[in-house]
Amino acid sequence: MKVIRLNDHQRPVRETSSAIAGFDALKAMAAVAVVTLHAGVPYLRHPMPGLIWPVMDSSSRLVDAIFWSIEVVVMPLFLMIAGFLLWRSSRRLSPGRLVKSRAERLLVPLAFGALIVLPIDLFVWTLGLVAEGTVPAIKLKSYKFSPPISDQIWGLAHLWFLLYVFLYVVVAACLFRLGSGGFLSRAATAFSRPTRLAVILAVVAVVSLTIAPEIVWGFQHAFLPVPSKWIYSGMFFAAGCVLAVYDGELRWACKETPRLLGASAILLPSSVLLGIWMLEQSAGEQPIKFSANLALALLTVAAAGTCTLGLIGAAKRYIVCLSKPVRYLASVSFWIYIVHHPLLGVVHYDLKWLWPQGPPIMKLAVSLAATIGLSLLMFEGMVRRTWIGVMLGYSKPSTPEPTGKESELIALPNTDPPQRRAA
Amino acid sequence: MRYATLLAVLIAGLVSSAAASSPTGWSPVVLPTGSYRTQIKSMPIAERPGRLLHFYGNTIRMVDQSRQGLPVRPLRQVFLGTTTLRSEQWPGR
Repeated sequence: MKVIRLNDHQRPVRETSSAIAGFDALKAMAAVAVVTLHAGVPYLRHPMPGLIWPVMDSSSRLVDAIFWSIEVVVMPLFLMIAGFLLWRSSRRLSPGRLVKSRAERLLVPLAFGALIVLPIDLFVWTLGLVAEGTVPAIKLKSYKFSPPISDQIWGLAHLWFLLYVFLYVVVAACLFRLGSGGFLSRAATAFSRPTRLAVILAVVAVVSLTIAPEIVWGFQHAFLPVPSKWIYSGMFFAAGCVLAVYDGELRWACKETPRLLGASAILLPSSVLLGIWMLEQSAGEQPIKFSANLALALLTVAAAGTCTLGLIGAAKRYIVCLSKPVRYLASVSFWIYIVHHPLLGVVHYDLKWLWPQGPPIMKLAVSLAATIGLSLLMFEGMVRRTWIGVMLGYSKPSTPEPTGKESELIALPNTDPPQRRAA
Repeated sequence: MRYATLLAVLIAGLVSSAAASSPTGWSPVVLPTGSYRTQIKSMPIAERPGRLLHFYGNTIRMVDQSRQGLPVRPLRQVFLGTTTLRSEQWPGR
């Protein structure tokens, strides 16, 4: 593995642009994957423990496979990309400026989501629960729920990622500041081999997941970070930083792409099979052995790690430039991420009553297409040329594109890593 | 070096932990070739013998056995393909 010196600022422009093109494609793909993940929730044969949804519909084994496969991989992918880009930004910005810039990009959208999207989310969820007969209609006024709904309905919902990433940035910035005093240099010397670091991160992730399988195989809904989930997710964020330090140009990832993807093609179905079996055992109130938790944690971390690295390597290896639609989708992905949740709730509710006999996989496809379509319409109508877009970090309409082309398109891919979003 | 380590792990697994005590049997052949490969391929996955590092097949067999009400050892069955270690089969050794 090539070791990139920390003061190596002069990378070839072509390499950087290529990596960015690949990351933009991954970002677009991951955004669609997240919506697909949530689009499949009502049709799960093995629902996610702890996750409450406005409606539950007819179930499908195929939706199960799609949902749980995405669940294992998609957040590690987002986190690793966020860590990778953070490290690159840290070479240009002081720790203080790093935190300030990420606060603008993560906390402002989080506040927007918490104040606008989450209340709508809560209303849609309650409406669905009332329509399903789970809670009485009076709850639309009081919003006072009894357990287990009260334990599961309050929290940041899908926006947890923004808070977690911001906290990782704060921790990383503190470490960078310590690093200026030689702490990081000593630590880097102690763990000079990337394989050692990778093993440490993997062990911590496996231990976290063994102790709390619900990090991946369940949903821990809360307003504040859940320690086990924060640690597990942090390992992938840190892995992104390690990747940026030791393989900043992704040469190793490119070279190993076929092996990584090959391994993940075996590990991912295995972990999904085992995870679904564990869910069956839990639902049957059968005791879960420690060895089963450990086996599942090992497979899940291995699948997430190999698949994520493989996808990053593949993006760098095969994607040199992006088509206009993919660039557009990548730039709008953040907006889709913020608003898709309540839209999906409404679409799921409508599909259940308008198309009761529809096959679950078709309903998933329709809800996915409808939600992405509605999100794009909202972006064009409400965000792209308005103060909301400016507030969420999309550039102003008058701002010229870095390439000098497509100046009509707002917020299309920023080629400068520090200007990119983490999600 | 990597391949040497992998080979060592495979050999260690074969020597130290092999035991034919899975309901579908256990095979020390990790990568079957020739007629044995044809024979294995002709069997449904749930009926194939457990094998070292065959994560997917081993998981399918373990889940299948669990659904039949047979006792399972997830860690061993998924990674090694067997329910018992050799030392447990012949504790006096």
